[in-house]
Amino acid sequence: LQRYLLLLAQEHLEFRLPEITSLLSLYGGQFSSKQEIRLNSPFWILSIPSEEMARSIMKRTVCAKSIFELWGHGSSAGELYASLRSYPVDKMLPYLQPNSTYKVHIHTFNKTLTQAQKIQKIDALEFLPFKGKVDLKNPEHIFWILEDYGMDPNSAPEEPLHLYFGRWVLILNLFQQIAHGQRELIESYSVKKRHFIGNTSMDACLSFIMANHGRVKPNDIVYDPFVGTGGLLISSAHFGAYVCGTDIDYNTIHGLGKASRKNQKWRGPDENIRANLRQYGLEKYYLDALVSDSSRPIWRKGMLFDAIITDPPYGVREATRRTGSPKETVKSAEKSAENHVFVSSDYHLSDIFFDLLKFAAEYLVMGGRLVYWLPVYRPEYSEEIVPHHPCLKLISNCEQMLSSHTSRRLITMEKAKEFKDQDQNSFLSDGQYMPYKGHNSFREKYFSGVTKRIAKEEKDNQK
Amino acid sequence: MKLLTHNLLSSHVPGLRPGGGFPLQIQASEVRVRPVPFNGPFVARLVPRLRWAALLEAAESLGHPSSLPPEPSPDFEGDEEFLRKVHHILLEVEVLEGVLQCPDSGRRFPITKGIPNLLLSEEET
Repeated sequence: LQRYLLLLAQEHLEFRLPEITSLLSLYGGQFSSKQEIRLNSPFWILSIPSEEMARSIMKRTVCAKSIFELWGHGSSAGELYASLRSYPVDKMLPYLQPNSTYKVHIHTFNKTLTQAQKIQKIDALEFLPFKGKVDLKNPEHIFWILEDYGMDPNSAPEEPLHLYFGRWVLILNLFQQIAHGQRELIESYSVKKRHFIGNTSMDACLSFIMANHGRVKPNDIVYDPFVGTGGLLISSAHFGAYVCGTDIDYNTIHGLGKASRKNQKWRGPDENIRANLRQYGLEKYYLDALVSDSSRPIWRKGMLFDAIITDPPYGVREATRRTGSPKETVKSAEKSAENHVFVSSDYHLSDIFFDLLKFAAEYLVMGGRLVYWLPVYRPEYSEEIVPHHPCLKLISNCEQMLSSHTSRRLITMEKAKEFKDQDQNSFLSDGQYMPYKGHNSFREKYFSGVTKRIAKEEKDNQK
Repeated sequence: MKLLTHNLLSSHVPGLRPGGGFPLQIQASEVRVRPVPFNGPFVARLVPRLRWAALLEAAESLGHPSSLPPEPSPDFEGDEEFLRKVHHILLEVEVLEGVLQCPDSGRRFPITKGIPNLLLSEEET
């Protein structure tokens, strides 16, 4: 096992550990020791069996920016140098050959160094057996000194709290194609450029994180029961999975109706999920999109899907709907009546998750994952309200704040037990499985802050 | 709609006897064949998940009788010719317009622009 240093992006902090853990389990490797992972720090040390696996991880991760073969580290310059002196020379030599070129880059976290200071620190490494030539423009090997000045940029200490030295893992001779992680990918998949946008298209970063939490692998079949415009399918397809989705909204699946992007009247004839995948060269992974009600599964019984990755409607921007009650009539497009859902019942938020977990328990392969967003009213949140199911094991629960009193949590569950028909509703009577029911009034609670503020403003205006 | 998807679908009209909703009978008015890059390992993974007889029947009903055997042979994983035939029938033949009919209840679900609509009406639920 070789030690590697992961340099993480300081975003989506809560999501990083489950992402990296999932990728380690997919490709091999582990955290080198529990104490060394400081969750909010951008520096994590991993032990990975081979460089190939390190590259595979970097090709998938959104949370990490770079990975380095770790040659030494310490909590002072002295410790770093001692650590480097004890690193086996025969492991260094292949990268320090006389006919090779290199450069040393210095990276500091929460501190800015002057050019003079940087040069001084690089020069201090002269004791290393560098035999090659320095090339600042296009070197074969790039080494980094990384210095950690702590978490508070406003009170950085004089000396770094921790120092690292490593060889940057990159694809040799192709400078653009460095194994840098998925940051560039995020730019190319940015939502603004995407062909087809609905009201709630997901942040591109988070959709890749979701596919990673879901341990999506090439040749998997991934299903989204609230597929909307298909944003979540793109990331799974990018990782080599074949994708399909269903949605209750005929217009969204067909790419009809008022466009969400400003200045556009109508979603064109090719503005649908398939076209979405096509524009990224991922059309071959498109299986199908269907119009159906996720509370009434359309699939034959069996373990059909490797992963279910979805963002159910919260009842805030998208209405929650289900067929089967005479209460409301849905406004629909000009198409003939039999193509549309006629009515929608008040599909309670907790029922959505109850149905989703039940569906995942039945239709996932063993070890397959369910990844979904759970909207939460923060003042009343506690871990107990996260929905359970006897066949599903909770893997992670990561919060993303939406406002001061609401957030959504990315829940990842893994199928650990085979679904038997008796499981179906027996746990219903056990109150512990659905305490989320109290969150049913999420929509009212979400808006309660707004209505109170409007009422106050009106009152103030009257004075 | 691809035949892979069709092989996984079942009618969910209330009151059917167990298994009575599968397979949906396809009445296609427009079928398209579109090439998809062949991926042997993916197809090999799918074979155990399929209902083979229903697949053959569906291909037949679309006028694309596959030259597939009545059952996959035990060593299908290494048989590229077999896998390519399965690939073609599962992923390259699409129903663009037509109807899926529930075998037990007779209920018909439309397929429009390649997208099946499997919603039930309020009276049915």
